[in-house]
Amino acid sequence: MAQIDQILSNVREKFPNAITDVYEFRGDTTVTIPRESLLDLARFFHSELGFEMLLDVTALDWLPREPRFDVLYYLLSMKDHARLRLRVQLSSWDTNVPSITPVYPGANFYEREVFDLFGITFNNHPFMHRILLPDATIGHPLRKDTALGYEAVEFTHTYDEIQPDKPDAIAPPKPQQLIGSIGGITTQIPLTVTEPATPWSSTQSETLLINMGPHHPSTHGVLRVALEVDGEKIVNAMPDIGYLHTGIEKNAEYKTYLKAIPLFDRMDYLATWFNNLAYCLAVEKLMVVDVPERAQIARVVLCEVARIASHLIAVGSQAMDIGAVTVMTYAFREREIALDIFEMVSGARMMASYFRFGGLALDLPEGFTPAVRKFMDMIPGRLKEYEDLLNKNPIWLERTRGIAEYTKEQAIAYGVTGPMLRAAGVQWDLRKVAPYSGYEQYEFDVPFSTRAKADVLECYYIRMEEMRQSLRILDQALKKLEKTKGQPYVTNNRKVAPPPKQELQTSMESLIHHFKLWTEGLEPPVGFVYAAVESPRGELGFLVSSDGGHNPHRVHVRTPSFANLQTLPMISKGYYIADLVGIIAMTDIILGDVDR
Amino acid sequence: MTAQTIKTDDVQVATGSPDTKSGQPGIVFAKLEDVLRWARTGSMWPLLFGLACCAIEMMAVYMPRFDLSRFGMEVYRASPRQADLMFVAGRVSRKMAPVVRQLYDQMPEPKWVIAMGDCAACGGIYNNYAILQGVDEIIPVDVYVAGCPPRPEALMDGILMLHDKIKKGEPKGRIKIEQWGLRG
Repeated sequence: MAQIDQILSNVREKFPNAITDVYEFRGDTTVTIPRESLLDLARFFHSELGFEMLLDVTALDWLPREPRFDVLYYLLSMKDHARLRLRVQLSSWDTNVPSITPVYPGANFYEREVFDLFGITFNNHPFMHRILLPDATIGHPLRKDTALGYEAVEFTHTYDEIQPDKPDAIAPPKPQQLIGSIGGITTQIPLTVTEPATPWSSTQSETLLINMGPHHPSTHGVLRVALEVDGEKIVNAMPDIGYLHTGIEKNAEYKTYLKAIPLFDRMDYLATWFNNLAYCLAVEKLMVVDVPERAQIARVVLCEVARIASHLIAVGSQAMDIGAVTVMTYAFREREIALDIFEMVSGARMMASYFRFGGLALDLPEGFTPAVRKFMDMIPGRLKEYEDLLNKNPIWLERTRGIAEYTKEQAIAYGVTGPMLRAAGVQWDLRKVAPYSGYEQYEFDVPFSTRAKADVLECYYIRMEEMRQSLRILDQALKKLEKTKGQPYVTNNRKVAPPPKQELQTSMESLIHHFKLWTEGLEPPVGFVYAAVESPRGELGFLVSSDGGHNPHRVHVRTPSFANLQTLPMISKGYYIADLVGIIAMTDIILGDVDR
Repeated sequence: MTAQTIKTDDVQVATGSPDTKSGQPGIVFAKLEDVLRWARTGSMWPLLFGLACCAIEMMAVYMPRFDLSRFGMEVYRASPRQADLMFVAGRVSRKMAPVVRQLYDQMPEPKWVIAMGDCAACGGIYNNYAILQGVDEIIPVDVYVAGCPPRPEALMDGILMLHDKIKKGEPKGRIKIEQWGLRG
């Protein structure tokens, strides 16, 4: 806190009237600033105060309050790990903010997202267009005066009743157009195969616009990349996302806190446990809940198993995209064992929804520890097997070494986190710098690259090493888990966790708590909190905003894939189209995580 | 006298008769249509096309443990021109819907669709502005597989169900509006 005070006094010295309000809640500081001084302050924070990374830009809609919108900028200083949130308040009739992309290039996608979902315009943004929704969409869905869409439950029975609210899906689809800014010039790119791509004439040389995705086997889902190529070389690669936009954030506003848990499972569907964990941590922070030790250890164990399972697929699919299909087949073989553990714990292979506020849904089953031990014993040998297949494979090395090079500074400027950042030589892992769930008690190393520039191969090495470190954590965690046998697995705070069944028979008080929890839900205070975990892809953070009601006022997810994907135009420039599949695999994006 | 026809299910039994084993192939009478239907189920080529979480389970199905090649289906084709089965594996957003429809249109006849998972079947837990409430709003679906995501066994069950449907020559699936009888 002293650190933040020092920073704020520095700011006050330089800009005496810039800070209009300082809001502190649960250890997070939010500074309200006027719109006019946003750009100057951002420059000051960036260059003078060492806030080199912009983690997130989002907005809150406080209808009917005036000023109605809060635009939130979340800044991170990596040197001394300080986090600060800037807030610009906007009235409902004047929703313009200056864009901070000149200072933080990583704000590009975030500002477009806020424009898309809230209708807040960022002036001087290089490409202020919708990013997640189709261009033809009317309205901005995350505004409070926009309905959820469709009927909550389908009660309408006739076509005429439904049709006004539904997309024109029956009519043959129109060829979709993307207005893309390529080479600084706005261009229309046709999607259909029937129309040939328009050659884009330039003064330097003749380049061609081609379309990759959204149906392409190596884009890891439904990513679309509009490519401008000069022969085989990529001049520009512009990701077009939103093909899996699910409206999870809007849906969460219509559920109670508890019922929103399963919604978030389906974002990063290769590492579902982290979505649950980050959301639970955020709500626990909001409600101030202590988590018993056994639950914390169980969370660590399950997350580390999930991290290994996720990295296995990352490495496997990376190898498959480059041509080594065997690794993918092997990786899935190992992943099945991890899924067996998840199934044993929660009953579901992928979408567990096993974490609850204040602990776990159930105690860990019998035979959990031996199952994890078996998994742990198996993995090192299997990793060796992959390395035998890849590490000396000349094709693999040729197609990964020196491909998609980027520096530490570039990664930080774009808000890259996770293995991609560590491959660029930054030893940054939330489990070390801001431990949660008791990670400070475990001994493990954060692998990072010592090369000047990151590339595809470096990311692969980092992931392999991280799996080994996860095994180290697992070993320690399982020993601790054995000691906590029989201890409570969920908090005894009755405002958050339901009382055990046997108590309901005897205690009226418990019965009331139980009833209130299931009918009304939690009763959090007003305010917003942010909690983040280190997911296999980077910093996964949940901003949970409460207006005191039983449903979240807004849940915003800062997903790592979204920021990591932004680097694609930068890192793929100058490489061949065939390299692009490897580059996309390196970023290890999950489209559910990108589009939400 | 009417020619005796053998049902599709009996074809295998007939070819496995002692005559065959002694090196003298037996003669089987069947309707050409039935043989075609039977042959179609033997090597379906699904479209390599995943949308969301279910796509991971779809991949798990053709990986070693579940091994979809037992049903002659491990050849996933990336081009819709070479595929005759589409798994709609995951939620279909409104932005993706025209693309899904276009892929379906590009597949040559005969073609089938399996809606894998709750989202593809009815929108699942996402009843909001972004998600199509069932892929059968835009393309006809033959088999719906429930689950979020469905287990690999459930998907295989759906595939076998589709095989059964094809062998029996049951009518193909229809889009939702047609099912309701309100249009078309």
